[in-house]
Amino acid sequence: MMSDQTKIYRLLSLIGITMLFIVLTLLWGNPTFSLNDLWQITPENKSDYFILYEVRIPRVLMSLYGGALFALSGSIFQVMHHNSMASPDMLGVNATALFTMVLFSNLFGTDHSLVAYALVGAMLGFGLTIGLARSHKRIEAARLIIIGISISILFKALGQLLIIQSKESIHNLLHFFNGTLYQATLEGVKSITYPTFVSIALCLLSARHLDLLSLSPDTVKSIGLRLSAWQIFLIGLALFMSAIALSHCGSLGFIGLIAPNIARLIFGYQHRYHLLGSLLIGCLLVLSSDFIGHHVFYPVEIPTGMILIFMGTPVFLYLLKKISRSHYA
Amino acid sequence: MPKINAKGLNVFLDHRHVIKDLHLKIVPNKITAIMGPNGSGKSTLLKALSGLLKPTSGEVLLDNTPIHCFNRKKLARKLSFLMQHPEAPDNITVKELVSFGRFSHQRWFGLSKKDVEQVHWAIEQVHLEDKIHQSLNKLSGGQQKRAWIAMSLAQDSDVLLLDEPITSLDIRYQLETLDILQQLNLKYSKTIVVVLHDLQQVVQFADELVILEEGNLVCHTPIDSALDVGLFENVFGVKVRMLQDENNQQWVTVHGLTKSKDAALL
Repeated sequence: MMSDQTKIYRLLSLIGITMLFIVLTLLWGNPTFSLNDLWQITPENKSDYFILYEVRIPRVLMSLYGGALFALSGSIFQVMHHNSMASPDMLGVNATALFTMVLFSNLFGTDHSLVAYALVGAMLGFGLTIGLARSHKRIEAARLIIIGISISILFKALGQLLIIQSKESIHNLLHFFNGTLYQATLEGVKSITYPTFVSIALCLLSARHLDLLSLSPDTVKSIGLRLSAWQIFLIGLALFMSAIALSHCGSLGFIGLIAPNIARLIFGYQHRYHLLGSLLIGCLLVLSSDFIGHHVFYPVEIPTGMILIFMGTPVFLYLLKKISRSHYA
Repeated sequence: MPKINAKGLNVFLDHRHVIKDLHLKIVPNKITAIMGPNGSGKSTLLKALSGLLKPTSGEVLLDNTPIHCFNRKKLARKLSFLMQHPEAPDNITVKELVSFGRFSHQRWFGLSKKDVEQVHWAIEQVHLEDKIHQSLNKLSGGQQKRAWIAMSLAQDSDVLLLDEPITSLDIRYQLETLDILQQLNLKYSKTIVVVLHDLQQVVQFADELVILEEGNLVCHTPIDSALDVGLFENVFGVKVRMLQDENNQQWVTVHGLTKSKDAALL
């Protein structure tokens, strides 16, 4: 049995490592800054100022937002479905949301909010997957994932097909299918700051309810929780969080799958620790894979999404083996 | 005194008529045992009585109010339900599990002093004081079941509904668990409704007996009145003999199958 103190130490070390990566990402590159430089870069020094404030800072912030949002979204899906593989990308949410982003951008233009476009698709994808996976009022764990992946493949193909037929202004959405941080801008980051922080806060405040939801539905109800109301609220929140992230950095695949599972190993089931852990691990995964993609194979740059796929696939295979044998834990 | 009163219950599940026009008044402050062959609708009846399942027609009244009119929290303070195979996350400790039972009394975060006292009281009742910080999945089957019962107790409701709480336990744990339920009934006048399978245990521990067969209520009778042996034979298809020892304790033995059920099987 892990004591609360141990968990707090672990959280603090995660925060420490995340800070380290933030600083590294800000400093290292072409040009590499020293820690002292950071405070001395002024608008007069145009190129350095541009690189720090228009490239690296937005990129770091977007990594943090994307990682946190996908991770928490995955944490919610996993406990709601009692399924350690449930996550926005596995449930068909990401691909469908990207498809509707492309579709609606073609129909109504890109000047409207991409978040709204993504949210419609997220709900559509989730609804389709759940609808198809339900049989006899039950959802079998492996079946849910297979159907979710099928829906993802379908909408990814449709989305890419649609992009080829689209106006040129929409072509940059193609990168979103594998997730990208290249398009992070300070305005983009600013535009999603409020929704990001509000939804993260709502999620963290629901920690106690998420604990209860890890029990069987009948038990949850008889303990006194309004199950269906909380299900709607939390699933809605998870879809909203995914939609925010999707609209600005695309599908950072596997974050929603891996981060909650690592967090459960490190922090156990209690959500007041698990959620913070999952959030930090999500941030750390995106930051580190961006860092690896940038610097390890220099001068070749590998997109963040690709690195995440390399890291995520082994975890995916391990979990697949696990859920076909046992129930959610 | 909590009054549970089922009026004209009909339940259809997947187009199957599981409960058929059932009327039942649960006697307050007594232990009521529900018996019946597999598939006779025992669990469904219990779920309907606990408000978890809305009957297709008819209603369940709790203190003269339809049970679905209560909000979940209010209902949880009056009535607790323990399902047959409850699931909990790995690594949850006994104390954490039992604390879940306080949800309906609790504010948004944390347990009050009274909540903590109630949790400890519940754990004492099921004799798990020395396992309080252990993980649930490290306990034996009987201890796990008792932890779940403690969670129900922490809810501090007057009515406890339990679906087959002792099935699949070793015989010693079965008796221990039943003994705990009996103590709760005697000391705190809890109304207990429990699905059981063993005739002898029912005779020994319950005050009231309800028998279901294919969704029909076959009988509802106090245990101490002369039990109708013929009824058991009809419903369960087994030959039963009742004996009484010098302390007026009744003993039930089952010895073989009756011909009628055999014939039905063929």
